[in-house]
Amino acid sequence: MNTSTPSSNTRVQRPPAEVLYADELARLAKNDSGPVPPGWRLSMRSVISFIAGGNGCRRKFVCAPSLLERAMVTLASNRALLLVGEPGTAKSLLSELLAAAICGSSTLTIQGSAATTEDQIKYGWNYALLLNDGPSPRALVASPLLRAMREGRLVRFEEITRCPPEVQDGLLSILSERLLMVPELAEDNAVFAAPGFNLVATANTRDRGVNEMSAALKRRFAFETVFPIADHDEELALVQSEVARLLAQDGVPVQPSPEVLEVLVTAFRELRTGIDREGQASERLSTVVSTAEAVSVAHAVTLRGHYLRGDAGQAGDIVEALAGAAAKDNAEDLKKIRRYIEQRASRRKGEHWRAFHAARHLLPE
Amino acid sequence: MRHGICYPNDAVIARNLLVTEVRVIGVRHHSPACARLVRRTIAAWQPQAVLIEGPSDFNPRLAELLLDHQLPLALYSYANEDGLPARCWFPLLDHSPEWIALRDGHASGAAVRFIDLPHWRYRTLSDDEHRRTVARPDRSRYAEVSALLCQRFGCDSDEALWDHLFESVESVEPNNVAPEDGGQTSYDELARRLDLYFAELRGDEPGSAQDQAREAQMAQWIGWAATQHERVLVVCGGWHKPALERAWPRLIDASTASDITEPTAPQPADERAAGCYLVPFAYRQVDALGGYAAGMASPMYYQWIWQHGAAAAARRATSALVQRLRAKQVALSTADFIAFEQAAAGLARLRGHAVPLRIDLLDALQSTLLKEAQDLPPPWSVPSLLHPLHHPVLREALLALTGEGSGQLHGDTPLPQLLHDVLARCRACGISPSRETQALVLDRRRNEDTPRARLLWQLQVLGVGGARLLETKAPHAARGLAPELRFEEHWQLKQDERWFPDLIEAAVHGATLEAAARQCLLLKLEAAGDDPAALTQGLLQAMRAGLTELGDEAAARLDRGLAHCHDHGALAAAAQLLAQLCQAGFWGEDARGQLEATLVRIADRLLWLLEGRAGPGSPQQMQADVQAVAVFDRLLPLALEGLDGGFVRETLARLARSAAMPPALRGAALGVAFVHEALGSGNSAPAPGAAAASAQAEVLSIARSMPPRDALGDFLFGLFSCARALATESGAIVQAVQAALSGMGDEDFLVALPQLRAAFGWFPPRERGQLAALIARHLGLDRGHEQQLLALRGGVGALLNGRRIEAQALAWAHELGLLPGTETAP
Repeated sequence: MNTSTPSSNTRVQRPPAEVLYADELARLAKNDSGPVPPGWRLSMRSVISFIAGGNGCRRKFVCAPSLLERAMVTLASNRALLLVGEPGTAKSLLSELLAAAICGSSTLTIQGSAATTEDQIKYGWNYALLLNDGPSPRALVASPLLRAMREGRLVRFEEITRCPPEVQDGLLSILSERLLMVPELAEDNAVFAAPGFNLVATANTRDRGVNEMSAALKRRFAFETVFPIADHDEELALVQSEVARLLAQDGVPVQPSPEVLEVLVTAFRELRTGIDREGQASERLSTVVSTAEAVSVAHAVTLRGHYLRGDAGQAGDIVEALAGAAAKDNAEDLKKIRRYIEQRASRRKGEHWRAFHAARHLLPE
Repeated sequence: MRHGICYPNDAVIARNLLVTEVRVIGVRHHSPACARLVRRTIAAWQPQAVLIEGPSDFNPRLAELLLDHQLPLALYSYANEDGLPARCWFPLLDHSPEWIALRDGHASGAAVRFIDLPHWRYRTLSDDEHRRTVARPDRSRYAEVSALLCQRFGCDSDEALWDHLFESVESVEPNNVAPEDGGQTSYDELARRLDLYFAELRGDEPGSAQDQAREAQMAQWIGWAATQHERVLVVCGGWHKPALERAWPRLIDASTASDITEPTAPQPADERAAGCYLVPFAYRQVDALGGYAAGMASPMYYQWIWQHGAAAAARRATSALVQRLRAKQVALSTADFIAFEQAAAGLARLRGHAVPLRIDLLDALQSTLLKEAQDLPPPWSVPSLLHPLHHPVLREALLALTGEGSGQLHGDTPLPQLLHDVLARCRACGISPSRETQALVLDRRRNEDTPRARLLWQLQVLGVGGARLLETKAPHAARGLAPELRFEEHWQLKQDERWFPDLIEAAVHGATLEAAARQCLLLKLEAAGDDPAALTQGLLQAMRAGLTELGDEAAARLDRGLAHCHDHGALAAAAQLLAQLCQAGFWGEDARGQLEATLVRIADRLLWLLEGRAGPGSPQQMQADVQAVAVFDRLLPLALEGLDGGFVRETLARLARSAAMPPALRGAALGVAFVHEALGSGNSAPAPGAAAASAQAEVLSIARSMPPRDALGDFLFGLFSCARALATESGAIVQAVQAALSGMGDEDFLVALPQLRAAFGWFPPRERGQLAALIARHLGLDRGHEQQLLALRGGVGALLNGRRIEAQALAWAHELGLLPGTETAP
């Protein structure tokens, strides 16, 4: 069975990591001298280089080095990895990068939702063939998980906690026995996981959290919390490069000004942590103000400036975008944003902060 | 004091300089790897002088450090200039390179010296600053380089980087087995790495002004030693190493050899204002001083590394972690244990450590045991302290590596003057503190008990752990005796494990117990700020501790806090209490001198706050108003020095006349003004009788102006709080009230009733009888009807029943939240 990974010469909207960074992966594989865990494509050191940068690779993910090290060690053991964190902390990106580097494909993915059934996790049937031939390997429709077990790859399970707990529990025996039974088949009815198989799940702390997950399943996971980027400059640089990438994709020839981005990133960080850069306490928003939101706001601000006015976006535009993107329709949060702009932003020096402050009337009443 | 070796005379100095070799070992405080390197260097190279970055004022007393102590200890330094105490601790552990240099250097016969500035010169901080200081200032290059290295080596934090680079260099032997030959390579490697690391950290940065002053002092010492000895070993913080290596040869070039004399430590202007002593220290304290205050995280773990090597330390740490977590009811199954061991081994392998280090163990623990999202990154991966948001399992894990217990001083260690003073005073009054718990019952009325009680109170003020007041009693005393005046004190006295450390550390406040307690108390009063309860507490402590001459100074310290106090009720309660003490004295001691100045200030503040009152306010505020005014009823007869009685009277009269004030406050002010003769037709008093008559007329007119339904009850409540005689001595007020009530409808009467009841609640039964007589006369009732006025209609049973119903109703209201923080009227 061939994978659905696009080759590098077809034009797609968003190529997966193993295609996007194919040359980096190839170079790492060629120069790899460290010990490679069974079933992996690269050594752990190379995987870390691929994700965190170094050895000629671009830095793709910002986090504490120990997070990656712990994740590696977990994935090489018999426990699965669960990435938890606020929405927008790039957990899915991390799991994609891990899968791409470790097993060369990030597309074996199960999307968790309230409608996810056990078929989608384990296997289903091609009913035409089933009626015709009876239960046979040919009629079996393998789930990404089953394929990952056969091929010794990583399978990604996105938003695992959105699934009902009883569906989640279908993973129990697979994760501990590394075995999936297909009792309908007369022979060859046990699929043993090949070396290299493991599971990377993601869950966010906002919707349902991990509290409803059964203790038995929790035991089979190692939890890693992914935090928002700790360093202001790193976050600013990331937002800058991500916005540039998005704009290039859209074919927009302008870049947001560094001052506008500075205002945006500072405001987002302060609203996220509830502590301003002078160390004074302010309020944190209850809705998510992640780096990903900052990127999308910066993107929107630039598009708006480019298409509507012919400039690269102004600090005042952030206010409206903040109200729409960050506060959604939460009245409490709107109040907090207003207070933040009145009390904090108004005292900051610089033209862009002034513009930001001046645009406060754009907040919906 | 000179240790062991003789000093060459001037003639050989010049010759020595040519052959002198100075080796500087840059160390990190408490690093076992550095300690090993120091030990090895001293053993192999046999330096003639060992110079250590430590407070040079301690040099004459280095012998103290060579006694047979049990570590951890700390060098405790303090400075106390202008009543601003500041202090610091410099912990010493078995594996502190400074400690090894000192002990091994002495044992090998070398001259040993501390060469840094005295700690009181630069290191001591006030307690406030201790709380605030997190980052080391002015070392930006340090932070930059260290961040770059962390990034390069993939380490989360400075600590992780240090362990990764240095503690992981495999030691061939645990510390005290002499290596035959194989150890040398690992020592060379360690020394090479350290040199590179510290050279990179410091670069050519000049350092802060403080760094420069300290390095100048250290360089002088090195220069001096270089002229005296052929092999000089310097053990100093790695940050200073490059600077010192540059500085001392320049110093020698700049002066002729014979100019260089042994430097002297700077002396404090007042000998008693600064000092340095050894104190026993607990592992927990070492851990709490982690980071830049020169303690370290997880001291017990490094103790194991030092004693048993890294592999054994990892085993011990693993078992300590697992045992502690299981003892704390964390579910840690055998399977989890295996997973933890596997993860630790995997992380160590991935990071290139021969055996799992602290950071590997902690990371493995986190990844195996925590089954939920974290609010914060783990405390070991960021430069931060443990936070309430950190997972409790992480907290326990860190505590498992911190270790329990504390060091012990050798019995011959010199102690600060304060301890001698305490001992002398104990002996003088016949108290002998010991390791056994003693129970002491002291009666303040007995002359021989007073000095004992004062001694114990002074110890308590200093916060010495062993002296504990259990309770105060006043057997067979009058029921009305204020708790503050209770004369029997029950104490528990024991020289527990905090006795000596607490007393040594308290030496910062003074050389005698009385002086130290005095300063400590003044600081407490200053910190009491706007909290009147804390303020009274402090003053009462002063009273019981016999620190009676605090007076004006205490009042001055309170000033700033008082200016921010807005709770006139609490302030009034404090004033009442203090005024009572002022009046009665404390068992034969005159309290007036001590309390007068404070009371005057409180009175001023109360007047200010009363002036600002407006509107009726809550029942609690009404109470507070009345209480606050009542304070002046007590204060005016005391004729305190500094309190202008005329001004108080005028103000109260003005408040009473002002229609904008709440009725209860007006009533109370009017009552006090009447009693203290502030009313009447102004300054030219014609005849005493006429003045009294006009005052009464004014009271009557104000009472008549009160709206009966809404304000009269409150007004009377205030009025009768201090001036019941107004009602009982003449019938005018009673008649006025009667007139107001008789004009009231039933419904209005019910509204006014609770406050009226509260107002007449001030009167004791005998005076109620007088009131009844007045009313009877006014209404023309005969004797029989007058009796009926006081009798309970329906008997006692009906009253009790009514009370029960009322209590039930109040309870329901309370339950439903209708009476938040309810206080029933008296």
